[in-house]
Amino acid sequence: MLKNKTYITGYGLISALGCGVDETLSSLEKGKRNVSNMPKWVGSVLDKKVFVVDNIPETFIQEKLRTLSLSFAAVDQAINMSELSKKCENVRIGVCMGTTVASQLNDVGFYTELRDSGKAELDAVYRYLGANLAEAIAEKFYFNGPVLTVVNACSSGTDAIGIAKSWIDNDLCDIAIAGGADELNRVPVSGFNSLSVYSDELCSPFDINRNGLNLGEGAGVIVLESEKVVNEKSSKPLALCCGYGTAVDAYHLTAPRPDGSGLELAINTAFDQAGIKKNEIAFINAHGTATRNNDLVEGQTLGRIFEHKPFVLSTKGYTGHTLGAAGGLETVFSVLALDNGWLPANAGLSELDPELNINVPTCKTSFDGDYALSTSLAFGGNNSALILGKI
Amino acid sequence: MTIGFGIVSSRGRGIKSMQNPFSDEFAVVPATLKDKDVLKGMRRADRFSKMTALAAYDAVVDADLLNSSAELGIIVSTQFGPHASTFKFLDDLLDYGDGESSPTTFSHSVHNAAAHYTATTIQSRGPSTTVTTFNKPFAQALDLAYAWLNEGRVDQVVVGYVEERSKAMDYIVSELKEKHDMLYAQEFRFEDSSPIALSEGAVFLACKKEDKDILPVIANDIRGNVLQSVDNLFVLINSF
Repeated sequence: MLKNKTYITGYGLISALGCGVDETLSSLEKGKRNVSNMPKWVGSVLDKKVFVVDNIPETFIQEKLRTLSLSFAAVDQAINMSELSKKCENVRIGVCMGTTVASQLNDVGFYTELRDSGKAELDAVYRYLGANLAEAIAEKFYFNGPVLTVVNACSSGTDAIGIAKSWIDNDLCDIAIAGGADELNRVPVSGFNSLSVYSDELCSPFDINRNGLNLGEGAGVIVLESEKVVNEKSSKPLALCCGYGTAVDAYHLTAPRPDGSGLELAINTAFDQAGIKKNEIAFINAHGTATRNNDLVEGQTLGRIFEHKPFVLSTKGYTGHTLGAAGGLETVFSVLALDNGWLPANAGLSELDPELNINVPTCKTSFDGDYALSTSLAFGGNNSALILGKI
Repeated sequence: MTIGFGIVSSRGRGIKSMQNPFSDEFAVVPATLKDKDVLKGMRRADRFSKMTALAAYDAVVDADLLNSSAELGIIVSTQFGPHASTFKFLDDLLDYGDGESSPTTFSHSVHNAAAHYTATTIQSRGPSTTVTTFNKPFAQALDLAYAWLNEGRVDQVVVGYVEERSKAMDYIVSELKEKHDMLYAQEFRFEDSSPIALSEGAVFLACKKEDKDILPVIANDIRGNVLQSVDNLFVLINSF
């Protein structure tokens, strides 16, 4: 497989941990879990714990388009950090974003009106048609490269970054904005509740007593650049996007394959592209949703294939499960950890599930090493992995 | 040239069906989606997934890749995804309340459910992705297929486009037709039929690594059919 170097030159994020790098690092360092009760604006009657973004900067707010608002906030941080405005001349800039909620025409008000009266105002439809995440970002920031929104459920953000890397590696563009975003929404709250995987308590990834996830919202975005652009435009690389792998289980629509072979294939593909050895991984930012099934399969698979026992942590105890945003946020968390040399505690862990032979940090922990792995598992049996490297 | 082709539309299933007339309602008729052999294990799947899996399966068979499909890549593109299942889930919310919705309907309302069923149908364990844009989703998917083949991520890939109808989408389209002049879209139809009708179906190409250079050519041909934003509502399967 092609083994081109792809550089990360900027990143941005917004979640329940805060808006931007400083707020996020401060919250992670203090182990803050900014959990809330269900806000009224979600419209759900279910009394569930959620991780909400309190303050989206006003300048990015798009009326009734919360996922897009979150995206704009994260993209703006990322492109400012990469100083993109100084290098956009004669380059092709692509946009690849992952989401779930923003891809669905699920406006309850519109549908209720249509059901009840046989007709409805189309405002919600026009909003939806103007809010395809990647298209809306490309339009707002005048980007001129390929544009795709990835809808692979909970691995969407990771896959969006992997696809953006493929674009650059195959000369379909020179720079790419990539990541994921999702808002808290009534439909997935009800849906995950119906699947009996929504915990009534704070989630506890990899814990022996874990009993389900909490939903959250946010956006995590990176700027990827080819080696050629980095050299020609004198960019300041912040990290490497070394390898991407993805593979499906072809097993069950909502449950992971018990032997973890799909995840293992995805990880092995990422290593094949990265050209590094497994024992060079310092830590793994795991999917770690805190459901019984996910954490068992993922934890056992990671324990089996990484004999040197790197740190394995889930950050969903801080953000909730942000669905399409998760892969984007967790990629940025991984880059921040590589840059700063420490990992936050795996929030919510009291007693590690004895069936998992993994090394989970229970407090702020320093580490040595240059590479991180970020994994995502999803409905549809998607398994995806990104390998990130320190500059 | 080893590219294989699969299509499910309101004209029927398979390339020969393109000679058939449209069904009365421009919808994929139930008989088209009855194939107990291919769709075994898809009893609970929705129409969106069945159309996808059948067209992708036929493309893989047509390219003679079925027996080597273990690591075949799958790329599904769509503008609107399985919205009928989304609306069905909203029916659950409205009729039974937030705590009583159907887990089956919820899991099928996720865009990549169709790709999952495609993977199980053709027994692929390779990369699979579902993508959506309103502007040329199929052309963008072909570009990605090219990238996967070119970088050696896969040696073969099945890539396609799928849309479905629903009562709510029919209403939306009828309203938009009233509000916008859509006549110029007619040139993209296979035959001169008026008025423009919303249709549904799935179309897939399966190809090997040696076919990769043809994909950008096809993608550019599709890009040549310039339509924008909401007008793409009308660029469904029968418009290729």
